[in-house]
Amino acid sequence: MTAMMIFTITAVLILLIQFIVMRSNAKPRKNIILGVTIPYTEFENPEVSVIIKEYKRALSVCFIISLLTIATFFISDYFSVNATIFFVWIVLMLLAYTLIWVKYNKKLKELKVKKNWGGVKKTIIDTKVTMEIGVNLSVWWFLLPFAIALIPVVLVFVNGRGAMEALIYIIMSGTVLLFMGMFALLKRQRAEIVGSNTSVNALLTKVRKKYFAYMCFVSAVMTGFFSVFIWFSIENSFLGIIGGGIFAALIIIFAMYTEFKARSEQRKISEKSGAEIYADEDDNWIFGMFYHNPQDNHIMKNERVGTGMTVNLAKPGGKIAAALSVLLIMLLPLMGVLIMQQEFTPISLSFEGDVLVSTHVGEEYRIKLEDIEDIEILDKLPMASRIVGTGMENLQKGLFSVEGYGRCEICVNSKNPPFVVVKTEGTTYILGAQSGDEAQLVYNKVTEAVK
Amino acid sequence: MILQFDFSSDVPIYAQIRNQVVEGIANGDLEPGEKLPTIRSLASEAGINMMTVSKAYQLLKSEGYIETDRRQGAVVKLPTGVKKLTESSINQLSIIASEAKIAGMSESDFIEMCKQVYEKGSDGK
Repeated sequence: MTAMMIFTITAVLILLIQFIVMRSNAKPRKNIILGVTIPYTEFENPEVSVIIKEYKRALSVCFIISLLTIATFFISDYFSVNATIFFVWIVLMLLAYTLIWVKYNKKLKELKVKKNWGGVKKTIIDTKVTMEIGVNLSVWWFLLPFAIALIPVVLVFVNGRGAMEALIYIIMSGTVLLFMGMFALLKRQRAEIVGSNTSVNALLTKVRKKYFAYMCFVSAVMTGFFSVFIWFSIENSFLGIIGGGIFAALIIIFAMYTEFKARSEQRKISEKSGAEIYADEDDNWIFGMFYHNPQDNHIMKNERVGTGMTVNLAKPGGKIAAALSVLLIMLLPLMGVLIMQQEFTPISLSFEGDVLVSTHVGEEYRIKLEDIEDIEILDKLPMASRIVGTGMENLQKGLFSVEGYGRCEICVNSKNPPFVVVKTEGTTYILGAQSGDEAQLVYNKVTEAVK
Repeated sequence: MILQFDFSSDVPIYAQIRNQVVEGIANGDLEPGEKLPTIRSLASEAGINMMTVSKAYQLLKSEGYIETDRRQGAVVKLPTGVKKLTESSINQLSIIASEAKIAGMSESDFIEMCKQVYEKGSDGK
């Protein structure tokens, strides 16, 4: 139930963010509405207003339908089935919003062609505003959050807590470095040139870089502290979920804040820009959202509004990056299928040739009789918090912190007691079987063999 | 000053850079002592090869329109001691005049057109 609530909250958040961002694209910024560049004098044109209105209505309808279909996450008793529905829902929701965007982008483009509203279709550079405009933040400041993120990495090795846990902290440290790398990209970000007004171009460039830098640095700091939080909360699932939720919420809120603050300032600055000349790059943007320019040597390109960056689909590197992104999204439902495989595959427990073997998808525990120090059977699984592994209602597998037993390797369906507890010198195992009879049988065999 | 690059034009990009800088100096959009972007940043901003920008700057330097310095980069200067057009420019003017003649333009109309173009360039001073 907890997992489904998390899915629901996640779905609502994704839906809200998508809706807000797409609705925001209906406001003119840098002469661009719905991914189409039009003269600023035509922003209030009645035909443009009609298209914007229809676009907003379509967004609202899509939002309501998507919201109502969230109820389908709860149709099954099985976590993996509901998770698959959730992943399919994400793919379909993103597709629906994309189709709405494409439809109204095309409509506005047709109107632009009909009215002959084209601007200057050449690449425009302002000699006084270049990428060398920087921000008042040195990349060395990122060493501070990196150092914070490294603390649990050091501690996990000092305390001998295991490779799986160490991997978590290494990933967190790597994430901080990723934000540092993104900040370093600032130097390569091109200037925002919208027209002949140098001060407008300079201000737009500074706004983009400023908010991009904020986003990178604050995200790096939050990630560093969250890594330390994980160290303290790793054996308390509830605290971990709450902390993780708060961390994710803070990152999202701050990312949204910087994005919309940047958009708001871009809008104010560019409201009256381009009186004599304005850059029209529409021909290089497929549906106003995918950048494709064979003349441009760069793989990365600034998004048209906001602070983000995108790839140049005309370059092999850009094509690969885009293909990978699409593939990851389309494979989400496949993840659900893999989770179903986990949940519906029974656990196998056997004792053959003096070796106790527990097998489940992708995991096998082999415990030699001579290594067994103690064995017992439990009718009920004690309170257990997941450290690393799978924690569904019908499957608990991986490293858990178990009340009364400490850290244990578990492979059970908590709904199928009893469970065999096996203690060896280094590790305690709690193992289940496909049925209670099977677990009892194996326990009896091992107990007999130990005697 | 705004530089515009037309990638579909027959005019090479380095020539487009050179021509627009010269026009900019004539119009007053670029003043003596004013810095031009570095080769790297101009190339990156326009998404073109650094060699292309370097070629344009070399040409401008040889013609006396800019001077380059390792620390300052490229700086605009007005050519000194140049009293007449280069042979290349005169040849280009000759071609344009020939085209005007073939098109049926009279001498006075051609001179008037040249005057307008010249004054457009002088307005910025």
